[in-house]
Amino acid sequence: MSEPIVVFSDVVKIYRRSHLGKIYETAALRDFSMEIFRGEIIGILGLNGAGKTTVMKLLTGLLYPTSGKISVFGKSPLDMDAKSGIGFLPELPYFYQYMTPVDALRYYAELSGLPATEIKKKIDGVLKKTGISSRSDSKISEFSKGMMQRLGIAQSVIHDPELLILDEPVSGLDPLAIHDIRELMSELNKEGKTIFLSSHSISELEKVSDRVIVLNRGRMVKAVKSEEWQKASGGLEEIFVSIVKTQ
Amino acid sequence: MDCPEFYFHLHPVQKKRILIMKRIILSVFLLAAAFLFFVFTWETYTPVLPQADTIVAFKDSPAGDIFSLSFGVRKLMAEIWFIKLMQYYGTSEFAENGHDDHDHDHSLRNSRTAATGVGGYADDCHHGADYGSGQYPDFFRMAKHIIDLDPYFKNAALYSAGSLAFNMDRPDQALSLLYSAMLYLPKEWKYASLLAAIGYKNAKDPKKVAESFNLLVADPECPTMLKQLAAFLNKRAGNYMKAYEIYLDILKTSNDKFYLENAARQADKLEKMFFKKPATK
Amino acid sequence: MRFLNIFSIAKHSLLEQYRGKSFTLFVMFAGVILYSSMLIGVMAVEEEKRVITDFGLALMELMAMAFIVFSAGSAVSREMESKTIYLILTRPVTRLEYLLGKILSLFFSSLFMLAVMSVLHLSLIYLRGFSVSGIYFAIVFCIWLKLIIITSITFFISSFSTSLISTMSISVILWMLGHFVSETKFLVERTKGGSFWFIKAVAYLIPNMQIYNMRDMAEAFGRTSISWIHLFGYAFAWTALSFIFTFILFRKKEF
Repeated sequence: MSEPIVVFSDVVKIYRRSHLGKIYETAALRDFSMEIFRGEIIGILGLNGAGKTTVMKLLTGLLYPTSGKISVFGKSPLDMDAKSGIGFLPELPYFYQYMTPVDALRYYAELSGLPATEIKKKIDGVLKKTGISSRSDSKISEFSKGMMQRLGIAQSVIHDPELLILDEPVSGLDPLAIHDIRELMSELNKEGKTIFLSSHSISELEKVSDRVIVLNRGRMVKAVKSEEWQKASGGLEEIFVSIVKTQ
Repeated sequence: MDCPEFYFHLHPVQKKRILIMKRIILSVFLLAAAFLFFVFTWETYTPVLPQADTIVAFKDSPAGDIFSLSFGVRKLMAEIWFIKLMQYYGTSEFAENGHDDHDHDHSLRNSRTAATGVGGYADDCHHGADYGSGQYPDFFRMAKHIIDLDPYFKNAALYSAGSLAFNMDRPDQALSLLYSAMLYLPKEWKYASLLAAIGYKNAKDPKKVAESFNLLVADPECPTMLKQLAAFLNKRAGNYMKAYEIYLDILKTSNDKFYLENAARQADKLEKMFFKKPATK
Repeated sequence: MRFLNIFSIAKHSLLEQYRGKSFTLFVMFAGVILYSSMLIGVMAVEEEKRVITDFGLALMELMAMAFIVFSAGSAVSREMESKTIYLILTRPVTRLEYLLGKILSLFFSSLFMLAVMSVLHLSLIYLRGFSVSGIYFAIVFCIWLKLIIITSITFFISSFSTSLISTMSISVILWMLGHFVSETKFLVERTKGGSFWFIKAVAYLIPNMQIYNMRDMAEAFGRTSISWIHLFGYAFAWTALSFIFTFILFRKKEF
């Protein structure tokens, strides 16, 4: 297998909250270790509160680990070179409602360091790829959830990153939109992009992923390869349920 | 900056500690520099406006005063109080030279007084430099309040001191007001001129009073009330041409219809006296 | 540090403010009140020019202060609540660049607002047949320097305050305290005992707004002991200090 582009080594993340002078600690991740290899589609699966979004936020520098080490392309997640190689789609992508998709993409393209001469071409390209060219002049406030998600993917790929981090990319979408997003992810993977996604939907992960990390109570329990769940009679669901119930 | 040789042999943790120490030292240095600058500004600051405790409250002024002090709008508050003062004193102050050439109706003015609610008139009619003489018990304190708020409000000081000295015959209050104003503008020549005029009035020297006022009137920003007064004092001193010039100046520069009406009337009388022509206005 | 990032963020934040209803409402409200000051000016008779000028300048300052305190107090918190900040900080944008872009947009926003209101105000003054001297622009510039200081302080307070109301309240209180410097100095000098140095140290940290109050000191302009270099330096010191502390708090923030 190729070199890992992301490495989590014994990462611990504890959330501290103070209330009436008392400090409350919640361990979101405990001794979490994981690797993501170049060119794969890797999913992360877990119950609510398992730590999936925490992993993604640690990867993008929105959170800091309490202890442990994280490296992205051999650098810290806070390193600007590392960030240049990442495209992030949060769980519910939030955009400035008064903007059009073109305005929003231009803004994010500028922040990603794209030269001014290339921006228009890139915007046209990603709008076409994500299927929202026809709505390029509409305000984002008029967009449906599916279109917002497409726009979210568009902003994550506009600067041609090597690694895509997608947090619940198909959450709340209709079946047709889910299908389109899935196709898009496959296409992006074929272009050489590494995709790291999280989902509640086991079937969705089965359809796109090469590997799935099972997370339970902040710990990585198992990394399941596609061959494994394809052999299991109940598929990934059977494996997941058995892991979670034995923990 | 080149790092010393030993730096390259240090453990990463030690390197990190050195970096943190450098940042702490730089931050402390910047903080100290900023704080010293604040101290310097504080210690060298010389207020040009009087402190809040020198402002004597007047009736409902405290709330407005605190607001003006808190938001740095003392000058505006002084102007609002000046408008209040003018409203209190009233703008219909015209009756000069005795009952003989009255062309106003006493009953008309009394009814206007009743209608507008502009108070303070104790006398039925106000003549010459005694017009606007009335009681006006709050006039001095209101005027003082304005100067407390904005001691650089020259026109208010001149207007108030002039009214007190020549209309209401209260030279002591006028002098007190002028001295308060002169604490902040000691070299203001207009105050000196008005002081001189008050002095000459007390010495019963109308010619000298008129001369002192003529200096004030020469300034284009002189309040119309003082010009009006100057014209009257010149007439009383026998300087009819000078009085006529001042009335013409009022007609050119004033916006107040009562001053304009009076100036027109007086100029007309003086023209008839000089030129024996019909009234031009 | 990429200056293009700072510029992009500043430009975008500026546009966001102007597209918002609050900016238009503030300017319209200021315009209506400015023109209604004609009535007060008429009542002032001979002091009409002075009253219209001072009223307008005071109104400009208070309106701009209210707007900028609101904007600065919500600049970052709004993006954090709406999570639009995620798509910025996950890009090759440092937190320093982000903060610089935000605060620069606030500075330019207050300058633009003052410029718009000045145009309205000057139109009123000229409509009434008066004119202004160069000191008018010096006064407006000093107002802007005051606003820069309060913007930086509000920005800093918003980095640790939990609500916009408390941020705005603290900023307005500091603004007001800044106009009581001579009174504070008087009281501090009369403090005795061990608390004297502590109170004095705290008093030094009150931003002296009075030195920028050229509007009230215009008649006494020649008497002020503060030079332009000092005014600039003081504003810069306050802005830099507030910004450094804001950055220290923000760099460790998690989203």
